[in-house]
Amino acid sequence: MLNYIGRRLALGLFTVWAVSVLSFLIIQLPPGDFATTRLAELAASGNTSAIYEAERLRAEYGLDQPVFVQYFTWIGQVLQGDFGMSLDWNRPVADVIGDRLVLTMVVSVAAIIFTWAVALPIGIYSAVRRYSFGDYALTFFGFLGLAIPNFLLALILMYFGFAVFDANVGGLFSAEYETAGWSFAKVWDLFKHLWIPAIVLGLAGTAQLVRIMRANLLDELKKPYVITATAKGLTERKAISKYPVRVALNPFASSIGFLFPQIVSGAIVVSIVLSLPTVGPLLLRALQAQDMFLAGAIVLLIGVMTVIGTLISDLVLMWLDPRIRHGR
Amino acid sequence: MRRRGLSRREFLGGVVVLGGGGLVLGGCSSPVAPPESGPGGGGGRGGGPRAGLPDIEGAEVVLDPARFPKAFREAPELAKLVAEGKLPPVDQRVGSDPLVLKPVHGVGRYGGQIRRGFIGQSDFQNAVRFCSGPDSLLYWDYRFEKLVPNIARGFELSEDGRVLTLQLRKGMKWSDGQPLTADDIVFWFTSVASSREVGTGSSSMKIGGQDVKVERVDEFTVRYVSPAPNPLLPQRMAGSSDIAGMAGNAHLGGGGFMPKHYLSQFHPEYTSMDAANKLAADAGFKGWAAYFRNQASWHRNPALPVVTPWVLTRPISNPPWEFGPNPYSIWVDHEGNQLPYISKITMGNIENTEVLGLRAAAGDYDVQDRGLGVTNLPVLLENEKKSAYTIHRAPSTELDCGLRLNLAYEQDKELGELIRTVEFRRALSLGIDRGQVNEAFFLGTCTPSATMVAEGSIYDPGPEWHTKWATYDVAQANTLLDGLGLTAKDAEGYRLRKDGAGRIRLDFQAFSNFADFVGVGEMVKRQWQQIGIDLNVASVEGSLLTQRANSNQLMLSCQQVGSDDPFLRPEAFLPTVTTGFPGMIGIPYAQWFASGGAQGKEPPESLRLKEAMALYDKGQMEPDEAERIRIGKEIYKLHADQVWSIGLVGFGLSANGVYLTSNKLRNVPARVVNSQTMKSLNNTYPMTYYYE
Amino acid sequence: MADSATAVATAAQDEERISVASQRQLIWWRFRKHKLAMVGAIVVLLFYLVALFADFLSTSDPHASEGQRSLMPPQQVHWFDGGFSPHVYAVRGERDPITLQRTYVVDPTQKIPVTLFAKGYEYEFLGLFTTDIHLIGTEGARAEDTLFLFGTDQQGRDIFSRLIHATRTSMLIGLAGVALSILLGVVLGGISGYYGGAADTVIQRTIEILRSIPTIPLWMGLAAAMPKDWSVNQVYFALTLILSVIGWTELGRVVRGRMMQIRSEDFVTAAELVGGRPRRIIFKHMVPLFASHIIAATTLALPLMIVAETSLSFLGLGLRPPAISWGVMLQQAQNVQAVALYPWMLLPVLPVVAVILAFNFLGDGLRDAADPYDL
Repeated sequence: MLNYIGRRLALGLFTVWAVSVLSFLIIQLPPGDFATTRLAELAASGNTSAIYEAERLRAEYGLDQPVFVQYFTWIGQVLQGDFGMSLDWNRPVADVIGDRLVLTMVVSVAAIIFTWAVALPIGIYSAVRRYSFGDYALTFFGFLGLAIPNFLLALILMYFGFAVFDANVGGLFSAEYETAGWSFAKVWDLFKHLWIPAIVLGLAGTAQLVRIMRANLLDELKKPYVITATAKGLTERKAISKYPVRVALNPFASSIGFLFPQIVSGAIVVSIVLSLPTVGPLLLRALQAQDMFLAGAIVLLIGVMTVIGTLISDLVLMWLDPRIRHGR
Repeated sequence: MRRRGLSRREFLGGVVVLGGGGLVLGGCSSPVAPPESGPGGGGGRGGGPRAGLPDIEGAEVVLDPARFPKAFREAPELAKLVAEGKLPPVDQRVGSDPLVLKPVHGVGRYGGQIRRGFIGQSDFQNAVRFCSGPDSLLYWDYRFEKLVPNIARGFELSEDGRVLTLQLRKGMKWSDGQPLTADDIVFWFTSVASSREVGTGSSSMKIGGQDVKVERVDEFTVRYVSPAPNPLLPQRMAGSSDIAGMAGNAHLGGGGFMPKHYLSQFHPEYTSMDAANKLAADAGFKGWAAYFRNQASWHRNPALPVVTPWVLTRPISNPPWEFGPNPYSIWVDHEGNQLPYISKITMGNIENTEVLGLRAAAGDYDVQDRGLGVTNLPVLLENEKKSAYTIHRAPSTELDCGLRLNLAYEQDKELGELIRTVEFRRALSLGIDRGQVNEAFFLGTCTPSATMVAEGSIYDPGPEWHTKWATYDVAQANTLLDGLGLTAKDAEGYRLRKDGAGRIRLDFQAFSNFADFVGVGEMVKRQWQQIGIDLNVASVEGSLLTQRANSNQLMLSCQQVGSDDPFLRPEAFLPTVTTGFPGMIGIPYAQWFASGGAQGKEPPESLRLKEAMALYDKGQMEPDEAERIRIGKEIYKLHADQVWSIGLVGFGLSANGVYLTSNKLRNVPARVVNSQTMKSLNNTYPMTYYYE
Repeated sequence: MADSATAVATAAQDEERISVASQRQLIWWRFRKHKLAMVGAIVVLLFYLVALFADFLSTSDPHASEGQRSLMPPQQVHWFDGGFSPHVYAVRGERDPITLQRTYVVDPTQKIPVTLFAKGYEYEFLGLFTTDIHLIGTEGARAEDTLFLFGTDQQGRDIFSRLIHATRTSMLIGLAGVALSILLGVVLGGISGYYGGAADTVIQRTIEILRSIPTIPLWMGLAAAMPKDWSVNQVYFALTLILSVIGWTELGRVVRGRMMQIRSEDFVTAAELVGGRPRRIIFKHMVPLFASHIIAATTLALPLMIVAETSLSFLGLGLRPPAISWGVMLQQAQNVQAVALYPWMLLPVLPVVAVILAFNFLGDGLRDAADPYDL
């Protein structure tokens, strides 16, 4: 077992390294560099006099050097625990990301809770009452979440929140709590803002989970042990919830590890529409500005999380289902 | 209206003797009020009155010492600090030469905060244009007609335009309490402005290719000596150039002055290279220069001593971005209350302008201009009552939208030659229905126009030039194109190239930021079908556009066209910018002009760009204002005739022309001049805003 | 008695019929029972028909713009006037000087009849011949100036016609990407599962690496790196292909898993012993066993591609104007003004929702039908 974990960790390191190379290359793909972005922004604000700015930015941050030189300089720093300075923010990358990491987690967890709270009951119901009106209606509802582009849903919810309910618009905090220390009032303020992103982000994943749950449970329900259990006189409720549901939950366990990285990169659009202070919009902006130190760090972070997530998923699965342990 | 140079006699006529014996040299460049502009009616540079809009108004800079306050008062929180012994008394802080404003509606009360939104790190101009004062040495009066003293107390320009003398305010302090003196200007000029590592590299401190020299006369007097007549130097200091204030420019190396006592510790000339680099490395920066520029950033470094009415308390990079009152602010109202009245400005980071618009409509902002556009107007107007704010409309002095042509386009030889053919450009211009563009993209708030200044501006060559080659005349356009021999057409009616490589297909790349410029391209594509010219429309990210401009790959684009002054803001319509998207009219040509023919590419005579550039150079050095205005008009006429860029619609609201203020705020002018040069909304004088 | 005899006879006939039916027939019979899936199939078919006959079905040129009819609300069609005579009324618009919105007033004196097979703009019918006949049109006036069933957008373009043209783009553009993604998934997943060992390790690592890279940077990087002279459609097509290079991983993993399972079955060993080449064994004997899964994956991947396109258009990475797709149209609608004042701009949501639901139900039905273990 330990041997297996060790081997997986070694492979994981290799993956992370490969991700770092690939992502650095991809970030550098578009023509131009951060200096060009800076020029474009200055031009947009009517400033055409910063003649030296681009040239010295390139010199200072080595933007004019070959990509591989830039890569080794960067990865060398990262290995020493220094993610460097964000070009766009003029602040250490670690600080910029650190500010937003906690809130990203909060939003993700809220979205995941919403998804599960909606998807699991629907999945179970529509498997047990297959082809019933309820099955169709609920599945339809689940798919609706998938089908409505979530940025539009976000915008519509936000507008009606404002126009009908006078709710807070966008962001995660009201202005007065943004800089305040944590207090009960601030947490309450956060809750008041959190429901829109949780619903919008959660709905998108609901359909997927409903499908998986329904399919898995259907597979299990056909198995002889369920028939035996029913035949022995167990109530339907017990016969289903005791074993089949548990087994059907296995794939959920295996996807836990992926959820967070998925939400970070998948929620970018919604986070931008709702103006959430999370990592997603930060990544997008860093990529647009070609701030490769910030973008590189975030992509690397997501890569590491995916690798760890995969590992955790596999371990959880092995622990849950003894068959898999000996399968290989 | 008429403007003229300043004679010695007139100059002396403006001199007022103060108790301290100093000079107040206000309103020097145009001492006579223009007769044809009524009270508050605008005119001059700001354009005339507008139907349906209130007159222009604003706080008045009091120049008559007889009306100066004798005693000063301050905000309660500052009074508390004084009582605790943490601050010197207010009269010592404002110095003996305060900047006295007569607020537009009345004297206010202290307290309260202003909530705003900003759109990410690239929006650093947000606060610069709202709460920086501005901090330029000189500034314009609210009518945009004459120069007034600002951070400097007064100025004198010699008759030949070669020597500019600036007077500083006695007893004026940086926000950390250190005195601001001539040394701060000289420090900036000698150690920053001309440095490749920390300066801007602009030509603002040059005339005719040669450097202006800056001399310290005494502690409070600085002399700028130019090798040639340089009559526009004061206007450069007052406007939107890189020598017009620290707030918007110091992080790039501009500003015109810098706190020597603070910034010299980061500069190797004043410590040592090793020490400066070590300081930078400890803070995580690569090299002293990067650190120096960060430390000189008004929007990033709260420790930087500044002269703005508000000082940074929380940097832009750690939102919310916040400002508090500057205890050493030199602005006071005419009753002696130190300004600003409002003690805090807090700005939330909004990633998306839709959310910004929605938050504005919900009344979450007390003052908001950035990120609001013409398209937001209907929703904003609908919620005016519900959310208790007022929408202001400030038509700009420039073109909201014009097609820019790359006259130096070379990638496709035949198309490049066509673009350099004046009949072709005229035909393109005549083939556009500007009214459609105005209706669809600007809610009908603009005026169709060729590339031109606003009607009634001092440089306006006359109404006939506003529509020169800028009417919608498909027949004439087709005649012009036929005249070029482009008569062969394909099955769909598009004109064919002469080299046999298919139809004439121009390439349009734009970025929709202030308006839907890509949409404009789509509409133009449609309209040009009638003149048989095809257009490939592409939407491109802003930085990519810059990159392509630099490599001379752009052919056509669409943007705002800064066009209100041919000498101070020529970049959009003369080849004066050598890099980036603003230079797209012809970067190789701009390089040729900038280097005196050493680099770049010489423009062909037929383009007549050389004529325009000769006029431009001449006007720069023309001390007689009437003559300079005549030359300026010539440039506009030449541009309109030659169609170097295709102006579409202008003088509307898309450039910072829509803003809202909370109904609880007082001293908000009903309308102001909206100009990049004025750095609007600074000309609403936010330091005089207060809450009832 | 007679009844039960017939019943038995029918049952026996059924039995007979089932035992001789081919697998394809079995699947079809089972699929037919799945009502929702049938509906889904019909809807998908209709959408592809709309895509095919886009020009015939639209009333005006989707690019025809007119500032004077910017943001006009959908017109009401009146069906009766005395007898059955569908018609609309002419509309006059002007701008309200206070709110700056354009207001449109119906002019009941000007009646414009709506007819079938009317003349309109010229187009090439399926690339065969040029015609100007459209399914719906107007009489006595150009449809482009008078008929706006779903209203107009900011540039005064007919949303109905744009929606139909968008259907064509959106329904077709994902196909190639999905096809490539399935091919890669089956081939690489198959190799990985069949051979195991080093091939398996390499492919599994590749999958893990590809899954660890967020897609947004990939899109942005590639979108900006495409040659400038490519049209938006070309760029987008290339991007879908590239996206599929990443998109196959999910299917690859599943195929591998099933492959490893089936690999140890006797019939595979038998096939190997007879001397069957691996390629033949994989595609002839093994792949059909999980064909149902592949079909389902296809029907589910297509709507995901459509959703992805709408999101990417939002970020300015997908299709961009002047291309017309549902994503582009929604991108133009995703602003507060549209939600608050011009809700007809949001109409493109309907086909997106419809097509995604249809594809999903179709996929469900296909999977259920093809599952050999199902009762």
